[in-house]
Amino acid sequence: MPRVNRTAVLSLLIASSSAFLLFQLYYYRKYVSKKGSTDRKGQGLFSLSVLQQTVKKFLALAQRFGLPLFLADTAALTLLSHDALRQRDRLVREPHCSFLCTGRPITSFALHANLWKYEPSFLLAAEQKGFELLELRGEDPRLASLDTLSGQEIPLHFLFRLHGYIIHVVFLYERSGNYLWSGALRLRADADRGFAPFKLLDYGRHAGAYDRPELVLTVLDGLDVRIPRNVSHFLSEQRHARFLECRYRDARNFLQMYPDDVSPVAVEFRRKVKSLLHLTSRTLAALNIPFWLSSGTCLGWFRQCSVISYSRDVDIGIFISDFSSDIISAFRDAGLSLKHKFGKVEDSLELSFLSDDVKLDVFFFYEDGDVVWNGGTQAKSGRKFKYVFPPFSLCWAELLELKVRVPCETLDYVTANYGATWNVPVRSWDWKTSPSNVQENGVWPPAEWAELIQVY
Amino acid sequence: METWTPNPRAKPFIPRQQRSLYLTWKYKLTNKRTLRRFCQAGAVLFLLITVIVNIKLILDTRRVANEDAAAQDYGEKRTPRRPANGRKVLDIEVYSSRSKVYMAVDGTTVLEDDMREQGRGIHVIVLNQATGHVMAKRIFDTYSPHEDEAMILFLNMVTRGRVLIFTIKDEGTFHLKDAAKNLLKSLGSQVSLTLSWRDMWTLVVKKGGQVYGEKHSKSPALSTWGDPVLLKTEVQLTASEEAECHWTDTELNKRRKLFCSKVEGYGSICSCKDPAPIEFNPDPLPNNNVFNVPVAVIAGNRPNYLYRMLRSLLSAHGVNPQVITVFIDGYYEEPMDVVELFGLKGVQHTPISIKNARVSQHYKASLTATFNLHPEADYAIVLEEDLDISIDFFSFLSQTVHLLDEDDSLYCISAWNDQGYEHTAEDPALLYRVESMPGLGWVLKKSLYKDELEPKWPTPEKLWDWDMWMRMPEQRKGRECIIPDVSRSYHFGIIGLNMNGYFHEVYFKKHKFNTVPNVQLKNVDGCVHREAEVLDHTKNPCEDSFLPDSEGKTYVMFIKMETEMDTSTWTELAKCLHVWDLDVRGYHRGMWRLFRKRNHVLVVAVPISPYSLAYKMTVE
Repeated sequence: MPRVNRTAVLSLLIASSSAFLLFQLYYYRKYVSKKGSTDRKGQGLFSLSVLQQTVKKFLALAQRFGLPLFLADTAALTLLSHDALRQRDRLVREPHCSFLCTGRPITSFALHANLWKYEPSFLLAAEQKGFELLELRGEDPRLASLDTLSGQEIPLHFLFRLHGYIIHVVFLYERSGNYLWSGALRLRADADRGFAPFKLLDYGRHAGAYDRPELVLTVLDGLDVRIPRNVSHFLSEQRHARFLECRYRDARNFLQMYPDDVSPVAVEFRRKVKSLLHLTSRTLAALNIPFWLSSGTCLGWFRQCSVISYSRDVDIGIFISDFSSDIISAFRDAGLSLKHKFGKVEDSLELSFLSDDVKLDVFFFYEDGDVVWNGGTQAKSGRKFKYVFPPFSLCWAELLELKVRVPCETLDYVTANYGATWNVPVRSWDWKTSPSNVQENGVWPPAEWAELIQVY
Repeated sequence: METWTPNPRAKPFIPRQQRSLYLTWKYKLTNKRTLRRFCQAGAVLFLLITVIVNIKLILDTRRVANEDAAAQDYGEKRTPRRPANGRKVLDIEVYSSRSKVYMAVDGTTVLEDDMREQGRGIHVIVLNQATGHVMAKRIFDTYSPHEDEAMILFLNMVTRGRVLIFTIKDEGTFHLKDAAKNLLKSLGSQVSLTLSWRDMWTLVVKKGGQVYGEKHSKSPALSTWGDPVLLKTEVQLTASEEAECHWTDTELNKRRKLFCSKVEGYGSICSCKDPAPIEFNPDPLPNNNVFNVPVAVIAGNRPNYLYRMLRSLLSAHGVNPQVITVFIDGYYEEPMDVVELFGLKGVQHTPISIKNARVSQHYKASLTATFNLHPEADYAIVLEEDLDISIDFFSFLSQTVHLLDEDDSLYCISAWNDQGYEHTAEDPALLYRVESMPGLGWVLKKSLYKDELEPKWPTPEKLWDWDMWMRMPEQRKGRECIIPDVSRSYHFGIIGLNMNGYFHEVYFKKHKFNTVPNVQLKNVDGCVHREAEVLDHTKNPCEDSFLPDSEGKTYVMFIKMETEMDTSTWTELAKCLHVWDLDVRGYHRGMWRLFRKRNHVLVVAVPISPYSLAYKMTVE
C-alpha cells in the first residue's frame, strides 16, 4: 500500500510542521516579552532587600573612593518628595526599603565630574565586589566648540549591575554657561544591548542641562545619601532638561563662507548682546518665566553658534500663558527702558526694551489649534501682522556663556521664520514682508491705538 | 481505497465529537485525487505559513533590538583592529647619499628626507625588536659641534635589544669625535673609526647584539661626496616577552609599560631594574590659592622637551595634576604618549595657518578650551613645553594671584624676569612691576581673555606673534605685570620657531632660576621707597669698577631718554650688562631694577621717568 504510506508520511509532516510552528510562536512571544519589559512584578520582599544591599554596597564603595555622588533617581526622589509632605515620621523609623525600592530595577545617581579625579582603581574595586560594569564614554562637548581640538573621550555614564539590579551613574560636567551637563547615552555597535533595560533609564535619552543643585546629606532606608535640597525643583528641572549642542561643525562651515565681522563695532555689539542676554536671563529667572531665543537671535545660535553682528537687537519669545504684569517693572528695575508696547494680553502682545543702544524685543506667543503664533504691529499705520510657527517644545542650549532655551525643533522654527534659505545671510530685512511666515492680520481699531500702540 | 484509515498519530487534533465532520472528510478523502491535492495544498500552505512566520519573527526581533537601541543610532562602528603581523622577519632598506636618505621597513618608508639644506648629519631610527614599530627618530647634525654628545646621550638611553638603524645625509663626520666613533664601534660598527669627511654610511644593528648589515663608501676627495649606498638586510623579530620588563602590576606601571613599548630615548623611565618615577607627590602648599587654577601647557612636537617640562611641573610644590591640560599643536603621537605616561589630560589641535600665526592660533584655541574645560576658574596658568618650572612656582603664584583681582592696572603675573640673569638677579623674595608682558609661565585673568583678547585675537592670516600682539599698546592699555627678581621658570628650548642654539646661549642660558622652595615673598601689596645712593657717573658703566665693592646697598644711575622711542642709551647699557637688549623690556615707568655685584641698582631714564624727579631730589 504505497499510497497509504505516502499519505501517512504527509500527515506526519503536517503534524511536525505545525508543532514546529507552535514552538516558534511560543518562542517568539517569550522573546518579545523578555525584551520589552523586564519583569516588574517579580520583586518580592526578598529582592527588595537585595536591592537595598546592592545600593548599600555601591555607596560604601563610592564613599571609599570619594565619589561626589547624589541621588538623582526620579522615582525615588518622587517618593521622597511625596512622603516628606505626607508623613515625615517615616524618615526616622526603622530602616526598611521605602524610598530606594521603587519597583524598578534601576537606581540612578549623579556624579559631579569636576570634583572627582577619574580613577581606574575604583572600577577595579567595583568589579571585585561583583559588579558588572558598562562604561560609556563620549566626546568632550567643552572642546566641541573648537572643532580643531580633539581630546580624550570623557566618561558619560557608568552602569553597574549586580543581581540583576542596575546602578546608573550619570556624569555631570561643569559647562561655561554656569550649568551642569550630562551626555546622551549612546551604545557602540559592539556593546551589549541587553546589559540593562536602557529604555527605563532616567538619564541618557538626550543630553541634559541642570542648575547646580544644592545638596543635603540625609538617611534613606538606613543609607547615607546626598540628595538635592529642593527635590521637587530638581524633578521638574529633570523633566525639561533636554539640551541641544550647537551645531559647531555647520557653524564653522557657515563662517568659512561668510566670515564673521571682527570690526571693533561688531565686537562691541556682541559684548553688549552678551550682557543684555545675561541680564534678561537673570531678570526672567527671578520671575520664574521661561523664555526662548526667537527670530534673529535664534537664527544666530542655530546657524553660527553666535550673534549675527548686524542684527542690532535681541529677540526672545515667551508663551502668553506665562505673561505677568511684573515683567515691565522687573526690566525697568534691571536698568532697561521700555521702548514700546504693542497689542494686549489677549492679542499680539509685544514689548520692546532698550539697554545701551541694543533693543530687546519680547514677543508673546499664542497657541492656536495646531500652530503657535506671535503678533507684530506697525506703529504708524496700526497694521497687524501674524507670524505662524509649527508647535514646538523647549530645550536648553548655550549661547555666549549662557544657558538659554531654544525651540527643540529649531530647524522647523527657523525654516518657518526664514524660509529654506535661512543659511544665506540677508542684511536688508523687513520684518513686515521678509519673514516667510508673516501674514497680514488686519488693523487695530483706531479708537484703541492709544492703548494698543504705546511708543516711548 | 475503503481500507484506508488515517494514521492514528495524525489524529490528536481531530476531536471525537465531530465525527460527522470527520466522516464527510473521510468520504471526501476517499477520492484519491482530491486527497492528494488536498494534502499537497495543505503542505504548501503550512510551508508558506512557516516561512511567513519565520520572516516575521526575524523582522520583529530585529525591530525590537533596534527599538531598544533607538537612542543609540549614533554609536560609531569601530574598525576592527588589524591582526598583528604574523611575520617574524623584517625587510630593511637603508639609503645614504648626499642629497637624500630613506629607510624602509617591510616596504613601508619610515624615513625619507630629500629636502635641500635640511636634515644634514646622522639619522637614527630605533625599532622595537618584537613588533618592528618605530620607537624613536632623531637627527644629529654631527657636522656641527656638540651634536655627537647628544647622540651619545641618546644612544646610551636606548634599551638593550632594540634595533638601531643609522644613515648619513650630506655630511656627518666633521664634528663626530672619537668618543662617538668608539660608541658606534662598540655597537658593532666595523668602519666607524675610519668614517671621515663626506663619507656615506649605513648601519643596522641590534643594541647589545648582532650586526644585521653595514655599508660604507669613502669620499674620494675633499670636494666630492662618497657614492650613495643602499643597504638591504633582514631583521629577525623576537618574542614580545623578551622586549618587555617585568614591573609589578600597578596602574602606574601599566602606563609605563605602554609608553616604553612605543617610544625610546627617555632614559631610566623604561629601565627594567630601577625605573625613574612617573609620580612625584611633591609637598602640598598650605593655603594654596592656585590649587584649582587650570594649567594649560602649550606644546608642539618636542616630546623630549615636554617630558622634561612635565617632570619639573609635577615636582613643583602644590601642583594639582588634575587641572593640567596639555595642548598639542598637531596630531603627533609621541607628545601624547608623554602626556599619557604622566596620566594627564591631552588635547590635540589641528594646525591652522603657518609659522607664527600657527602658534598664535594654537594659543587661542588652547586658552579658549582651558576656560571651557574649567568654567568656574577665574584665571589660567599658561606654560610652554620648553620651560623648567621652579619648585616654588605655585607658591609664588599663590602669594600673588590675588593682586590680579585687586589691581585693575595689572595685566599679568609672570614667573619670568627678562633681565634676571645670573649676574643681575639676586633676591628670590623680591617682586617688580614691569610694563612689558614677559610670558614664559604666567597667569591670565579670565575676564581679560574673554572680554578683551579672545574677541579680537589675530586671525589666522595675520602672521603675528601672539606675545608681540599682547604687548601692543592697543591690548596692554598701559597695564603692567608682576614679576619676580629671580625667575620661577627657565627656558631651556634650543630648537623652536624663534630659537636656535646661539640665540639661546646668549639670551637664555645664563638666566637665573630659583631653586629655593617656599620663598616668602616680601612686600607683595606695596612698593616701599628705599634710600638709594647715586653712582659715580663719570666712570664707564660697562666697567666693573662702576659699582663699588659693597654688598646689599641700593644704587641709582641715570640714563638719558628724551622720549619713549629714545632707547639707544638703554640698549647700549643693556649690551654691556649682558642682559636682554633686543628690545626694551622689563622696565617700569622708565626705570629698570636689577642686581649688580649683590647690590640693587636702579636705572632711571631721565627725564621721561617719573622716578627721575624723586631721585634727582635725593641727589641735590
